Amino acid sequence: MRKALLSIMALIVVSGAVTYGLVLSTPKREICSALEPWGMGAAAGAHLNRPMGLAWADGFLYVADTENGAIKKFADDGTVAARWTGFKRPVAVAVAGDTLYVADFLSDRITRLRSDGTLISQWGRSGNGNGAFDAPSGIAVDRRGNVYVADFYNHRIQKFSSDGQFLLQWGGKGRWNGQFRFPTEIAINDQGEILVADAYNHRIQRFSAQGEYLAQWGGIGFGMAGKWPGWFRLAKALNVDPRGDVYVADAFNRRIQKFTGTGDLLGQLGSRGTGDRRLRYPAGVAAGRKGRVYVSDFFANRIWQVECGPSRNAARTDPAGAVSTQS
Amino acid sequence: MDAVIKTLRAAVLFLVPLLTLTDPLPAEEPTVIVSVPGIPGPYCAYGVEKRLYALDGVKAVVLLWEREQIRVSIKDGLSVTLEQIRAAFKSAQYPYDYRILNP
Repeated sequence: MRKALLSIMALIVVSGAVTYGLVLSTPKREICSALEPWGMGAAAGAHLNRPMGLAWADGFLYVADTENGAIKKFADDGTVAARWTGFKRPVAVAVAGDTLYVADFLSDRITRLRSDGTLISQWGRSGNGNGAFDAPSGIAVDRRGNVYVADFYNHRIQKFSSDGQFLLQWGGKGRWNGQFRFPTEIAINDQGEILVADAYNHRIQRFSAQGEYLAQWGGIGFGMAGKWPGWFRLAKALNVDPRGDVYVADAFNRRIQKFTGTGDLLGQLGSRGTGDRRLRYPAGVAAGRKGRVYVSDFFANRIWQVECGPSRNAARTDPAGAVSTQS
Repeated sequence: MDAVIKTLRAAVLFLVPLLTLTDPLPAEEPTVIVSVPGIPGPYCAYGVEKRLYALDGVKAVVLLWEREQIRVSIKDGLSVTLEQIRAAFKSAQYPYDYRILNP
């Protein structure tokens, strides 16, 4: 009996030490500059009302200006270069060359339009069958032009051809590998793998382009939320930068965490600052040129920027120049 | 100078009531206010908004973030029951407490 008790106590001590070693002792390393306001909102048409999804392409930042029912295209100096209106709740945007894709959470529709505003096509209807949505919340486009949509209330990802033909879907509600609890955002890495912000499972999952589960990170799996480095409390949005590193908007922890493409934590950004200089609800993230990262702050109605230094692998081709896959 | 100020004051005194008369308050439409204290983020609210818009009698849903309220306007001649509103919150899987303020 005494032996058993001692064994249990030893087990507790060892697991405690392992937990501490693996999780709690991970340094909270701020790896970028402090938050700087971007696009101050004073210019005509620049005012944002609950910004969410971001996409960066060819030197422009695209913002889903959710409660203005608009997508706005900002130049580097924060001025509005273009805007597209008429959406109900546009929560995510992806850009591929001259084409924009917009996910509208309320109307269960994907809109595809040219950058001059010409409507190319729309698809989607309410429901849970193939090609139907219940609140599309994230969107991304791969190099071949295939479109991936996070289907929030249906807990799945759907894949379409560029003109909206349904190709396949995967997911379902749950906590196991390959299942989701309210997926909110999608990004595509240089290898064409699909990364999904599995928001209420507080994790990131990685899949092949055919939807085969590959890996995950965040917490210790099984939907565990946490404030420790590498964990999430609502993994709201994500983005892959040209060198393959992944930025995750960790909404309730009010920070962005940066990982390698395989999920090793590199550090965090945006957690410094107080009062008005503190992130309130990071709802979107996009990596721009030269290590600059943009963050949409839903409750602050603004975009922040941080400088994250030179690329670790600057010689690689910037895939965002050809096809932006972020929303 | 005094004459100018007097003229301006008279103009203001004349115009203010006139503007008030020509811009009457809109007729009150039936609304339901739902208190959503501590509403944490967009998806909770937009999910409820989506489910409320799916109800036949709902004309508009306004999210009042600062007040932590959702205002639901009802279409003329139609009605929405409290049960339908509760069902909308349930269907949206809204995980927090809420209270219908003006049933």
